[in-house]
Amino acid sequence: MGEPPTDDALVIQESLERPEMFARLYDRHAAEIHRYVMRRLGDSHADDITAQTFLIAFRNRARYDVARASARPWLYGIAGNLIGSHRRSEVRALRALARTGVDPVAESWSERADERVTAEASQQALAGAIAALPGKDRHVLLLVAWADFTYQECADALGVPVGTVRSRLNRARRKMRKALGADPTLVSDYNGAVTHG
Amino acid sequence: MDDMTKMRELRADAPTPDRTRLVPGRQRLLGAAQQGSARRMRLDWRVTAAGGAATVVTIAVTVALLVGGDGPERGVQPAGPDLRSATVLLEQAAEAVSQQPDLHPRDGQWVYLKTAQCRSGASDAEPDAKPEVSEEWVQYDSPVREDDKDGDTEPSQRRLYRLLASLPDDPAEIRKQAADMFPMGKDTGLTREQAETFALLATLDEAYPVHPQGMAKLYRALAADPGVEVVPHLVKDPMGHDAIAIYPDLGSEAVQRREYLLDPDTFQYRGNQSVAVRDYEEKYEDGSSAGRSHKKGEVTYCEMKTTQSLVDRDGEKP
Repeated sequence: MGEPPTDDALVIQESLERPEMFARLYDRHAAEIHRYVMRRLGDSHADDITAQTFLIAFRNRARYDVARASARPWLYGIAGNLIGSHRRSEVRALRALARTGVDPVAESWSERADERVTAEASQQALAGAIAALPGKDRHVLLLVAWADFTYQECADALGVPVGTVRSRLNRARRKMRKALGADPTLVSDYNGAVTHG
Repeated sequence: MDDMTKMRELRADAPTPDRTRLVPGRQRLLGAAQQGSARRMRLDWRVTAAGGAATVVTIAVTVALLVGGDGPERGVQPAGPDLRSATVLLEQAAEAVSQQPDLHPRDGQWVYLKTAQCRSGASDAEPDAKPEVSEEWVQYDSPVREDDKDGDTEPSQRRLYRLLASLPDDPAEIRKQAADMFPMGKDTGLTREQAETFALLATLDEAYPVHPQGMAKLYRALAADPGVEVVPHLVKDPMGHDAIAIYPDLGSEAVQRREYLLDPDTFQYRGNQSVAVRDYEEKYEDGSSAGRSHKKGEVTYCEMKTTQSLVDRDGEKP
């Protein structure tokens, strides 16, 4: 929980009068947004999408719902839209990983060719299943798995009801379990997601 | 093993960026905060004007970037740009662009865009660095930019093309339609006329591919706008080429102005630059120094569109 004087909503509100204040939001969240973009699309998109995320957020700051203390869902939502415009490149990389065991995205941050690690079979299977997901389901799954979002935070990020998040995540997880060779019917609510935050 | 644990392991070694890597993005944001938005700003008059409101001294009437006398040397065009008045110039531009070919864009195509950006003080290490060149591919019918519910109001290239193609003749109506395409937030401090002028210029800046007759109407609406001025001589753009500079008049308190640059031969839009119109120091609103000062004539920001082209695929070069 953020303390009142430091929460994101207050920073955004103040930035309406003092635009340079918005840089504080960048200082708080840019690194994790950058890493998330890196993880989804690789090194070459991370700088630009991170910068664009904050520029778009800045432009739209007057419409931010100040009842939401943390801007993380909002920022991830914007970043997710930008990532979505590279959907084909994301899917292409996941398919390559599924097919060859070599992940073009992970390679983008490995400095040396000899660092190349071939993924284990289960990771290949997962990558293939993630590539096959509808974009909306993939967003929910990766927000929960990689950004540690709760259902509510996903709902805020994507502008959909919590129930929709739940059903998208369950559907995605069934496919992940199936790809891993486990019984796909054994999906329960994801406790990590509901208790976090 | 649990599927979510497996999911978390995937690409878990993705690195967290170090601070230096995040600096350029922060500068872009600060650039937007200080002078409007880096690229697609809807508030730049307000911020620009506010930035200069503290210390009003004199009104600068010239910019240091003028290129005295080499206009006539160009000589080849039968009728060069008439820079005596913005109205005459923009009417001339309207006539010229209306003759240009329509690219007839199709859904599924992409716009290849090569830009050169300059930002004064973007790097302390290289204060006089050359414009930074980058390439991007923009989806013509981008569903993200046509999603009206995601909170971002940036229109797709298709929407802009269709806007131009459907513009009426009446300048007042054109202004209204442009303002609908580029809505300003509340409390911008702008008059309705200023907001509409800005929307016309935003359309000029953003629209590609261009519908020729529509662009001609846009130029005519700008020609009819008393808030638009032209620099009475050719200027050098940041790439070193001659350019026509039109700009919205921000009043005597502004310390810089945003110039929209047109090719003097074809009147096509090339990009924009912000130029200091007098010496000034950047200050925060509490009066404290932001640690940067600018000389009259200095280009504090630019974004030149050095190449724009329609291509059939993402990543394809023209």
